[in-house]
Amino acid sequence: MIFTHQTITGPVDETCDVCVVGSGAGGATVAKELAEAGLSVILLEEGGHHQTSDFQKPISPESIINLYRDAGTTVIMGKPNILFTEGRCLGGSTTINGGMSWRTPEKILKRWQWERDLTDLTPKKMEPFFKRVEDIIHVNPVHPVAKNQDSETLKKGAEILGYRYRENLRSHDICVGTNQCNFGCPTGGKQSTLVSYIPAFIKAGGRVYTNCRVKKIRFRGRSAAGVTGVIIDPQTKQKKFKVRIRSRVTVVCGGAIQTPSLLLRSRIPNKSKLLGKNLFVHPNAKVIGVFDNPIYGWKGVNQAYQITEFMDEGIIMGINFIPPPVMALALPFYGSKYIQTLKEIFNHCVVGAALIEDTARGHVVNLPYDLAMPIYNMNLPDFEKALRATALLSEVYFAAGAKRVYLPFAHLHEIHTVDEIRKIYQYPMRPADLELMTVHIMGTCQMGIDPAHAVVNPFGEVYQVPGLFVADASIFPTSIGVNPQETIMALATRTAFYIAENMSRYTL
Amino acid sequence: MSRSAQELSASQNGILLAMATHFCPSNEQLHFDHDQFVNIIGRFLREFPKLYYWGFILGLILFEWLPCVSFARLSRFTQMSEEAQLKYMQSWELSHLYAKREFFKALRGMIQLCYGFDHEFWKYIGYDPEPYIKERIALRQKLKSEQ
Repeated sequence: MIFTHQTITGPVDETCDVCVVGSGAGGATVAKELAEAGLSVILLEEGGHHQTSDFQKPISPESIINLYRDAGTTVIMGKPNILFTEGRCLGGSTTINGGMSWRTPEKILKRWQWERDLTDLTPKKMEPFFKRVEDIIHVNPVHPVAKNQDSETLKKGAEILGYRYRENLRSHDICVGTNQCNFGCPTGGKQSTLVSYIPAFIKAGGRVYTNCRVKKIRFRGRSAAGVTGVIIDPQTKQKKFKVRIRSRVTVVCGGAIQTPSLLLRSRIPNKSKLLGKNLFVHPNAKVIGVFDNPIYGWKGVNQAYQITEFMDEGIIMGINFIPPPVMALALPFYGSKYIQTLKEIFNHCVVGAALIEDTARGHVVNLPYDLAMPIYNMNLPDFEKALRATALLSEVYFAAGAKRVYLPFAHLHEIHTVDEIRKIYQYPMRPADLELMTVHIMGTCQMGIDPAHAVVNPFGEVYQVPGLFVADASIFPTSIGVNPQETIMALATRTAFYIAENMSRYTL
Repeated sequence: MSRSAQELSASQNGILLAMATHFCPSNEQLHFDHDQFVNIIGRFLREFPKLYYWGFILGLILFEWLPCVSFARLSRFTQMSEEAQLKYMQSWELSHLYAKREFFKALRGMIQLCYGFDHEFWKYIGYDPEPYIKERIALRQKLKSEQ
């Protein structure tokens, strides 16, 4: 059963075995697995309930307002400021992401084993969790009908240069490439948790409360005992009703900004002093290639391919076409130059991004008026990697026949030949001159075996707070360099199995 | 102040519209709907966290009144000639102060984002997603039925 602000008519006061906060990749996974294990589970989601049928019109202001936190205006403050987006709706960021599904790279699992003693996170031991997730959300290559010219252009450039690339694996059940992933899939092809885990959760007897902002974790002695919150009207922003959930186990899955924000607000013990720290963000540099031939980037799926030649360096490249309102953010111009440039290039361009596996670390602070603020300054190695990634993607475009490339730099906007790529290195630049964005936030409740150096244990249970778990990207000890959805879901599955097996330890 | 009361005053809308004529100018083939812009930006502003909203208003006020403070000009932004407005905007765009540059970039992005929803603009640049989305929905239904 799904309750919304319209169907909730009074204060919510419920008791259950498990309360899950957040319905994205982590939350929906934990909720579904535990409900199917026979436990009574309540899932709380801050955003609203929007369905496939609501996504069948082109992008409108409501697409962003209804699905994105703060209407997509979330920013990571620092040098440079980095625009980031996260979903706030049923399904969380899986409702608005591109659905890429990759297992955690073995080099990352190895780091986690060696550097963090997470010896259970070997590829072999994680295999059943990855497989379970992949089967449920139908991870498979892009359907041929969904491929489009901009992805083929990237592939062509990679082939000419001899760069390794791979067909993207996505969670889809016949995605036909409407190119609306970022505003809700209109066909139900993309297997966000909205159309996969959440229906299964409800079928197993789970209850969902949407439009519910969780304010604090409840405690009974040292143990977590549920949450308190409010139901909020999304139109008027008025607080309508109080929410109190009493539970034996509480699992927080709000993402790497909202999760530490909630835990800090709840003043949980923080012996390691690491709660909210260790923020990684996978900065993305947007690079646009312009071609003479027509390329209708909006007709077809995002990211049919990824260039993996430089993955060991921490760089992957892909395509992600963006509609006109968002394209404005990727071009540095205004005035008639902006209008005429967009008219000239819109159906002749490839909008790509280079993702950086970052090493810099930021943190999250709570500001007044319920604002969680991520702060992150790019370090020199990541800055140099970003320059290199931009240069490499520009090279791919020129190899594929681009006549012009628009760059993500404040004072160097465009280059016209492959020789001009050296300007990226000759022009005096600093991190503040980069125009970056991201959709992957990680690390702020890092897991580890030593409570002095971690926030959660290897199963996601918060140290010093029995019965409180975290099951989202905030538990990653490091950046992972690939799309994090499948890693989140596999670890959340593992956490859910652990909770189910050890439920007798937790009482109300 | 509740978020539903987070709105722009007429003078604040005036500042944004004055900037918008530079960011997204109409031409012979393209006439932007300014009423729609005001409506859309109002809807986005209601979603801003309180601190962002107050920061935005403060930035707008500074942007409007700074020419008076700097002695070089005696008029507010909205009272300047178009040419003077453009020069003033460029001074924010290229400022040595990081905060000024970033605020200008944020304003530009917001205004262009809002105008980016204009369907006349879509027609002008060749973006027509609605029939494509409908065709793809039908295609998937066909492929699913053949499974």
